[in-house]
Amino acid sequence: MSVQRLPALIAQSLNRNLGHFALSGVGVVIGIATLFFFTSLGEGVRTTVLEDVFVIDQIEVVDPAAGIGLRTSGGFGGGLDDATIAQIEELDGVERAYPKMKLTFPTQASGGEALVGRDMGIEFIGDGIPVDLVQDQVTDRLEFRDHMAPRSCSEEADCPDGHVCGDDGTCEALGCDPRQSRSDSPCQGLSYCQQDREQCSLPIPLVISPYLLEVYNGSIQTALGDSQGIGGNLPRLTKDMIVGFEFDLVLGQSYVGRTGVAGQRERARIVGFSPRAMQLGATMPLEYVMRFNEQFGGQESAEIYHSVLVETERNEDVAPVTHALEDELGLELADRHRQAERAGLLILMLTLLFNLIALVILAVAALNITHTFSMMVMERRREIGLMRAIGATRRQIQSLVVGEAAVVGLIAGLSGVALGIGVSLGVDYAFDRWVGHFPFKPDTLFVWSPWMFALALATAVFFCLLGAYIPARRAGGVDPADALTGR
Amino acid sequence: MNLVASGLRRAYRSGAVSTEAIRNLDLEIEAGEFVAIVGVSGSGKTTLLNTLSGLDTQFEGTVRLGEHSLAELSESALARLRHRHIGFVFQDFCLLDHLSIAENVALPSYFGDLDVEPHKRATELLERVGLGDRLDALPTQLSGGQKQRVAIARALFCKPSIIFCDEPTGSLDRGTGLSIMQLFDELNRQEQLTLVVVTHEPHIADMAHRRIVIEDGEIIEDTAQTPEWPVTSDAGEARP
Repeated sequence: MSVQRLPALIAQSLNRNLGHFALSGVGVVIGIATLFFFTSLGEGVRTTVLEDVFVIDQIEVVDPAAGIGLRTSGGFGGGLDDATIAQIEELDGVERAYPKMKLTFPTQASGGEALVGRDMGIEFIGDGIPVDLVQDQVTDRLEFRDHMAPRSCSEEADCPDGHVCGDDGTCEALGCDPRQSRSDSPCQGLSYCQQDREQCSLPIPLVISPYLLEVYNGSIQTALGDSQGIGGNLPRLTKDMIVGFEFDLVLGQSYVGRTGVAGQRERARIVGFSPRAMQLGATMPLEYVMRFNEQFGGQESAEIYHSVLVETERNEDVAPVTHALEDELGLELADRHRQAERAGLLILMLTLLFNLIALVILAVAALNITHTFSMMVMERRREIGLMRAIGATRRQIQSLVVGEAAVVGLIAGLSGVALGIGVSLGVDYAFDRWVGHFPFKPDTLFVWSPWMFALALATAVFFCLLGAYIPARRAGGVDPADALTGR
Repeated sequence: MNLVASGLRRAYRSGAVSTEAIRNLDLEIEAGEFVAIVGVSGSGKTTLLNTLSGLDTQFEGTVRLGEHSLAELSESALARLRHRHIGFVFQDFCLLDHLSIAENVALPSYFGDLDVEPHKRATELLERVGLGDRLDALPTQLSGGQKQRVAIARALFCKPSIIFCDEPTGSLDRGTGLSIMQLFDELNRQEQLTLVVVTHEPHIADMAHRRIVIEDGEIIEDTAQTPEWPVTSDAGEARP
């Protein structure tokens, strides 16, 4: 068959049998809509759970022998040191390993008037991570970096607020009197007068987890919002309100305990949100934690990491790298990742279950297509006989039927996707309008990816071709003499 | 292109019963002949046409069209042979009602590459059969005679060597049938087209140059004849 002329013949046939084809495509439309709906729903829920709630786009491992994670003060977990980090980075498929370290001494935080209307004091839990892990998520001008580290300069503009460029080419903090008012103090801009050192200092930059904000807004503020007493009239907070918020830390002592070293007062400032920040606490640059742990807990507590985030070169490397971490290095997935694995598996199973239903619908639709196309082949037997008589080969007749099925599949696939999107938007609207706020309530329940559209269209065409296979063979097998003489 | 059949047999089997529709038949039709195959209903004339034209290959014996032995050709080669060298005209016209008559005429262009522009060729042929002003009409808008003219134009589309006609006037009134036969006669004389017309109507067979009478699957008469053209009121005086 002339390749250029085939589409025209298919179009003529489709046009003539529009009713039949529409009827045969209805099942495919419903099946594809179901498939698209549940696939995008599964992906949406999975994204929310795994990326927002559990945050497992990287592997996080701990040393099971060290009991890391249980201790919040007074020591170290043990096991994960620089040598271990180097071993991890040598594994095949590992792009980079990011060590995480917790503050291992008591700390208290106080402040909050600017945010919630009154100062409050709480226990502070914190950890440290390499700055490049979250740098792109920081929105505050303070930046997420170690401001206590020496900084080279050639002019004053190279130095941060409250610092000048010294003769040795490094930035030097200006001296200050903590009793001076802010306007009289040399510590301007982001800097403040640190009372122990009597020098201008920059606050410790902190990032916090979106989870914390969700828990506050979704639970604490909701529960205590209208109550009497200290928790009453708590405002609902947004990320914009929190970024730039400053409060005081007292390192080495808290409401429930203290170290043998005298407490040290520092100021901290929230510079952004990151899912890589610890969920109940705040995260600062790793260098701060190492410095403070050494100061309040000794050299050893500054050398042992509590967990390691492992980034793989490709997504396909996640499974083998996880096995290598567990089997070769004796490490263990962090609890959060184990829960995430289970949650991910559950979501996957549910998605597959619903997609199985969609596939059953499509299989029934394919049977319907077989039936409809068989009927059409029967009805068109004489026409097919004529085509064979005037020169059509069996293959050309089969191509004609297969081409019709492919077009039906394509149109049904597009219609199914459109229906799936329409239903998804309706469900999203209802979800947004009638389901109250809860922690991690997503803006949308659905995630649409290009591969889903391709999958939907390919599946639709596949099932239509599957359904048309037998009718196409029958059409190709029509004997022209029999068809034309009515035998 | 000569058509030669020898030792031709065709049987139809229904369960344990086998019925011979063609029995050990030998036949030769030379290029440019106008042959009428005549016989009563059930005599085997349509079966003979189907086997000679390559529509039916379930026969014993040999059928050669030019240098091609039909039984030895593959299915696709046989389809190509029909496409390039054979035209068909059927009693009930076999037009596709959803296509215009120009599209019907150009239908063979879908199944093989030709060195002509399909619509242009269809237009030429429809003008030749007297329907040049009805190119976009649908078959349902035509009379029986006009439909058969469209079918003849379609049969001519690929410039065939031979045209097989199965009861081409069977659905037409006498006058219209005569005009169709006049068209066949023109094609035969002007283009040296070989014409094989199966009919049960004696007056139609009278217009051919050779009459083959078939009965129970056997040729009982094969004679050359001088065509006899009747005079009809609606077709005017036919060619003497």
